[in-house]
Formats: sequence, structure tokens, C-alpha cells
Amino acid sequence: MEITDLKIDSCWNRIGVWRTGKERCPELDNVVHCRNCPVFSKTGRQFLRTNPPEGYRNEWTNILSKEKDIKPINVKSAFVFRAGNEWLALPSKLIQEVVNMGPIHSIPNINSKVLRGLVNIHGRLQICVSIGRVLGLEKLNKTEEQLKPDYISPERLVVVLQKNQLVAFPVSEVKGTVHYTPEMIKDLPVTVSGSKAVYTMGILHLEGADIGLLKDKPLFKTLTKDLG
Amino acid sequence: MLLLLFEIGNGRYALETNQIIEIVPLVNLKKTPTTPAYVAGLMNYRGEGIPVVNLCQLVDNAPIEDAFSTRIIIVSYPIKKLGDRPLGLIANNVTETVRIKLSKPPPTGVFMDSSLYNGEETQGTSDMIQWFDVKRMLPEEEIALLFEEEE
Repeated sequence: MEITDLKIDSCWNRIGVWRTGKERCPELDNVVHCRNCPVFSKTGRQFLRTNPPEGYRNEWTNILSKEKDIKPINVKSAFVFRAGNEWLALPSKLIQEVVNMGPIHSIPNINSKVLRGLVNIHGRLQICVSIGRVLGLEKLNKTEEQLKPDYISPERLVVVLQKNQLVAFPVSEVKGTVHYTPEMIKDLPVTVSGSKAVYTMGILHLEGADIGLLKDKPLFKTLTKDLG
Repeated sequence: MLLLLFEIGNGRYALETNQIIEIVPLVNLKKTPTTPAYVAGLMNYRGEGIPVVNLCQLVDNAPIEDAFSTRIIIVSYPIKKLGDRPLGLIANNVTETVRIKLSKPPPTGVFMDSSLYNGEETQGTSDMIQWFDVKRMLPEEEIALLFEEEE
């Protein structure tokens, strides 16, 4: 059967579900909507009985002769950012938003290495912590380029939701999200030690960069322990 | 139990889906001259040559429809000594699966449509659906030969 030979009375267009009174289709009492109606599904199935177009069989012969393109399962998403000279990543689901860098207001009488102070996020004060200080990362000296007055800084504030509490931390640059599978995580080089090793799950080599995948739970436990 | 419905000639059949590897469109087959007429040929399935049986020819001597819904059902076919092998089965109107409450086929090997559907209109005059038992419906010894030739 050619597709042009199909005789289709598209009652779902001609009558539809909105007609009232005498024009209303009686089938609607049983099926509620045309898409549940056997007339609709039966007509749809008629298309499958028509002749496939020329080249259809050749195309599928070609497709099936090749290895199946198996999509990796268990794909995870990570949010990638730079702190100092290190590329780091956190699970994407933690990230609430990324906002432009603003002033960090220090809190008097609090002496904490990781607590930087408070920041204004949409008119609300949120706690701001430093990931760089926990991991012992070095701050880069500003380059000549960065000292120019028209330089636009890529610094951002990243806001995460941790135990029903919003926490912000500044980053030097945001790359965005990447996808990975657990097999792609490489072990840390043995030369890495100290807090960097404690809070890093492994290394992801993606888009030409080595990204340290952070252990979010212990990291935020440390970051928020001074908050009481 | 999930069943795949298809047609051979005028008959409707149901195949349990746990034996199915994949359902693919009809493709070009390489003819095999010395095999029975119901062997449609060899298909290149992901780089492997697998025999394809034309169920229409085997069961009913009926023609294959030139339609989208004429497809190759690739099943895992158990052969003595060789184990499970992929085998293609050509059937018409392979468009539907249906989940039924039964956990094994009815003793007669025949379902009534009403036991499969809840009030859905059926096509044609026949409202019986036959259980397609891969083991019973295919001539095992002849099929086994198709695989032994490959070895």
C-alpha cells in the first residue's frame, strides 16, 4: 500500500474533543480524549502498513552492519570551576546558582580560616566560605592584563545548597558542567597529599584539563563547622 | 508477561519478549543457495552473519508485505551443543507489545483477543492469537544446520 492510498478520516481534527451538544463524539464518554481512542491508534497503525520509501532498506542494512552505538549509562554531571590555579568540580545537583562577584563583608569577632564573611545574594545575606583555603590552594598574583582598568574579571560567586543552608564561595572562573562516568575518574597522583588529597575523590581528564573531583560531603562539613 | 504481537499470513501470533534480542527493520539479505526456501538468507547483524528465517514462507507460504511494519525479530535461539544463537525471524505487522497477567501460555496455545485487551477494537475477522513457541514452531534440526555450516 502506498502512503497516498490511505483513506484517512481524521475525526480527531474534524470533531475533536471540544464540540458540544449533537456534534459531540459519543466515544468521548469512554475515552475522554481522542489520543486514547482506538480509532486514532488504529489509523496511526495504518501508516506502518504502507510501503517504506526507496532506500529505506539499504539505509537500515548499513546501520545494522555496524557496531551498535551504545550510550554510556550511569552518566554523572559535575560543575567545573577554577580556584587559583586548580580546576575543581562538584556534583552539579548541589549548585543553586552562579552570580557575579560582589563584596564580602567580614564578620567581627569571628576568627575562622574558612569563613570569609557574608555576601549579598538577591538582597539576602548568605554565608561565604573559601574552598581555596580549605584545600590549601595558592592565590595567583594578578597578571598585568588583570591590572588593566578595562579588565573584566571571570570571578564568580557560586551558591550551593548544603543541608538546607545556602552557602556561597568565590571562584576564580567558571567553566560550566561536564558529564562523566565513574570509570573516567582517575586516582590522585601519589605526590598529592594533605588536605587536597583528603577532599578529592579523583581526577577527571576532560577538555584538556585535569579536574579535581571534590568529595562534597566532607568538604562542606569542614567549611560549615565554624558556623555552629 | 510481555508479549510481542505479529502476523503471518492471516494468522496473529504472540511471542514472549524475553527471548527477543532486538527488533529491526527488514534489511537486504545475502541469499544462501543450498538452504530450504524458508531461509531468507544471511543478514549482517553488527558485523556477524546471522541466518534469517522467513516465517511467512515457513508457516503459511504467505508473501512478505512491503511495509514499515514488516520487520526482523532477532531472537536468542537455543541449539543443542551450540547454545544460544541469534536468529532472525521475518514477520508482518510487528507493531505491538501487550502485557498480560498470565505467567505461562494457555494450555491450548491460543489466546482470545479479549484476554489480551481491555475492549480495544480488533482488526480482521479472527480474534484468536496463537502462542508462538520458538522451540516448537521452527524445525530445530534444520535450523541447527545453518549454524553448523558457519563453524
